[in-house]
Amino acid sequence: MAVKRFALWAAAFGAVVICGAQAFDLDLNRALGELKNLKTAVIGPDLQEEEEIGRVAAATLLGAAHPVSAPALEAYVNKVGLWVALQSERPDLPWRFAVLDTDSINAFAAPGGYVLITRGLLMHLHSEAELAGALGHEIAHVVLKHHLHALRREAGTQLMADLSSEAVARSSARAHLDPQLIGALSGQVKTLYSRGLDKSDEYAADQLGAQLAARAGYDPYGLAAVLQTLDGIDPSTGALALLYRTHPRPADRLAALMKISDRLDAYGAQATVSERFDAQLAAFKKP
Amino acid sequence: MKRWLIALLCGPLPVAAQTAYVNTATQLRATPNADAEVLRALEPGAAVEIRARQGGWEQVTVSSQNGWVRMSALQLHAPGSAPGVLEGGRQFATQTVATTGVRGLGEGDLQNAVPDLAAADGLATYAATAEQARAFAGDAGLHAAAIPKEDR
Repeated sequence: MAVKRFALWAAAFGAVVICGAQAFDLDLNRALGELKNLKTAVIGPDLQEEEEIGRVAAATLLGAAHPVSAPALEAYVNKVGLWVALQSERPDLPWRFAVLDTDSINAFAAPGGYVLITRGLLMHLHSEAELAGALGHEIAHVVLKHHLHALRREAGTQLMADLSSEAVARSSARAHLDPQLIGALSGQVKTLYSRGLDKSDEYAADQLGAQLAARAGYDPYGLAAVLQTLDGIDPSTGALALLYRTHPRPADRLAALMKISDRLDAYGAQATVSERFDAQLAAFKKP
Repeated sequence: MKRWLIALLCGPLPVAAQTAYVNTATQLRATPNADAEVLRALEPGAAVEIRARQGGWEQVTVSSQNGWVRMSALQLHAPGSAPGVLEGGRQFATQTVATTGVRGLGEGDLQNAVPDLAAADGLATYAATAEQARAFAGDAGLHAAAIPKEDR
């Protein structure tokens, strides 16, 4: 990796810089930063880097729980999710949704358009509007780049510079991600997803998530209903342990979300689409 | 799309009757509207049966009287058993309880996870196209709503 980075660096700045005396005065981080700017100009605004970070984050979560093997259910969740995501400020991301085969009650977002919802949470929902609200919360994290910013902040300049150059290499099919790099980033992902985002990010995702579901034509209170359900589940079973560790209490989130009820009410009474949701879940549960 | 089905989808969502508790002083109202007639005052701790939900309101029965309550004024757990919080406000259960036969995704599972890049790449298999998502929405009579002025 070091060799490849050196080669890219050399290509960017030319032999003059390498051979000249001032090469030794150059600050390495600044040089890498300039190289990154040069590449960004070629491949587009940081999307490749975001996709690469999201890919490792999603891979880490998928290393802890696999998707359910139920193509019809996965396809259904992808359609609901994309329909909501299309109402967002980032409709053109390669949005991918999946149901994780775990009893734990939770949902996750990763940069670049990855959204994962657990089977445990899905089984506690009552309608497509509630699903849209739960997915909307995760979509909002991606749209607002909450995890991306947190990972960039924590991972440090060097890791990000390495990743950026790896992303460029991969985009031109020249190399696979360096295992060491995946390991380092995955470690940051584990820390972030165990500790959680700032509370303010969660409240912001609730507000935007509910609004995205409403823009998609769903009952704007689907997410509120999910939060009320979560508040009513006995947490001593442990299914909610990670959710409670990483999020404000559901009752606090519900109270905060209801503060924008005027804005949610502005959408009027919209569809809950419970029949289609029930049919999908019944087909999934059938042995 | 059948009209009756759309009407059904937009009406109150009936839920299996469920006991809830009033968590803040509020009113039982005749219709799901903040300007609706107040039927009676409800004190914190009062038990109600939830019948249906419409928007941010829940239809409840309390002492044989039916009416509507703002959903934020109701909680589904008994007063004093605030889930997730121990006495003194400390958060409950940071470790997943090991339960036989339960597949969990707790902090330990996350820490031990080996990144599965193939699984991440495989998610593209079920990804929908924008066209499919729009057709799917149309099947249920869903239309992108006009965004209210204050949200723009």
